Amino acid sequence: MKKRFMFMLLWALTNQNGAGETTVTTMTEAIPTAVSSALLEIEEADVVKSLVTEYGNFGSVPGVVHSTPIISKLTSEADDSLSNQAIDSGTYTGSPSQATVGVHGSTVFLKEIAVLGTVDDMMAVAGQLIGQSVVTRRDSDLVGLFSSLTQNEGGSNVDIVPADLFGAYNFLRTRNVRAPYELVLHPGHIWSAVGLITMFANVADANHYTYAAGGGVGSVGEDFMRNGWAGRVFGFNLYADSNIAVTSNNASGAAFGRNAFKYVPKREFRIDVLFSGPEVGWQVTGTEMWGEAVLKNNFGVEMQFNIDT
Amino acid sequence: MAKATKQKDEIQAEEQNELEALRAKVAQLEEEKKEREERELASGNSNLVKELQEIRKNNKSGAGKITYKDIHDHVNIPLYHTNGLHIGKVVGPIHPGNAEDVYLRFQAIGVRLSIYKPTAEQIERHKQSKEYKEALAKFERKRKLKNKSKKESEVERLTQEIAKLTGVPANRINKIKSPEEISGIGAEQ
Repeated sequence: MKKRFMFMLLWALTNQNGAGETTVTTMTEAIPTAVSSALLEIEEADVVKSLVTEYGNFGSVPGVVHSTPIISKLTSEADDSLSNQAIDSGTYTGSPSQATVGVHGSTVFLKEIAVLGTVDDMMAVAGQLIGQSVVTRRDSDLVGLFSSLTQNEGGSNVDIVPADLFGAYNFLRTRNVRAPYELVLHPGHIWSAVGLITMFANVADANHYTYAAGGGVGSVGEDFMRNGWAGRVFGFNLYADSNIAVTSNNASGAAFGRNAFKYVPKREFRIDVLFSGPEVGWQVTGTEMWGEAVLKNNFGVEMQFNIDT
Repeated sequence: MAKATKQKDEIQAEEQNELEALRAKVAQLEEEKKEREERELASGNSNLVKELQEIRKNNKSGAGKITYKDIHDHVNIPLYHTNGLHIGKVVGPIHPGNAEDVYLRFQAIGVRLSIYKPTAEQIERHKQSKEYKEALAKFERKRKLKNKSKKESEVERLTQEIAKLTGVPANRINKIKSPEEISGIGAEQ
């Protein structure tokens, strides 16, 4: 009798279906949640936007093409009879710098039955996914400009060496580019077997990693060894950006000053939600309007190297 | 009489043989059929799998599906180098408005860009040109110099030079131990 009671109690505890309890969803319904979690983990946020010149006032004025004339420098004369000098852009190729503003965003149709069948807040998930997609779009737009700089270090089958970084630094200094200098590279440019870290690594197996015979790690190498990261190398602020496109084990980062590129926001990020009766769900749309362009071609250097993934 | 009996026996034996041959044939065909069915099942082509696929295909239920659409009023486009050292190299993808500016900017330094990717034959033909070979030689000279900035290359070069002059293997010059010479932790030194 006692055993029977215990059995009934166990059954009652494990099989009750009380009010407010969440029922099990199917795997298909749970996929968006899983995808969002994964995406949030792997996405890189805005890397380049904060490193370029931003013309934030364009949203309040009419027009969709933002134009910046690049003015040639003047020559100071050394007498009291000065001649007029032209402040025009005629001598600078690529002037004016023009950025055409466009709409960027994504939309999802969130079915009510999916919302009801999922334990997560699907609207929040949709919002996060849209936000992430827009961030990635913006950063991809900006890093896409790197290969449109005419000055280039490296090449299609070249491993990065210190002289490349000093070459870029030399180019920027010679053109009086205002510091700080930013260096945005693909992660493979930094941490691969042919990456930046090979200049600082200190490993015992000199037979395999021949650079170890080259010398000690230095304080930058210590930073890499301790943290996996060094904020500044060869005079540049270092950033890793996985949105940089890879072509056959080769990718283009850039070394630049703030005035190399411009970012022109027209309207900030917004999410619109519209319920559709016939389709029984919500159209969730997130959009942002911006434009981007090379501002001064001579204020940046394309850094094209192998990434050895 | 005996002849008739013999003939009858022969006919019976013949029939028996034919029957056995037919049975063997049937067994072989059944074996083949079984193998074929197993193969189809493994490759997902069996009728059962097809039925299920058809059911899924016609299933109107989209309860767990969330449709996604990218919104843009333009498509970023790539441009390609069609001459020079970097022939075939991709620029961008960039906004079509930017592509116009970039086209002119590269034109000013003698690099032609195109919306059309050069074919492998065009690239190969260009690589045979005097212009390309000269540019490549110049580039390689520059790389050789730049590569010296990495300490490893200098040390390696020096080691190789000494090895050549002295006849002593490079690994002995660097005093690099082979894996079997390296003692483990706790081992006698």
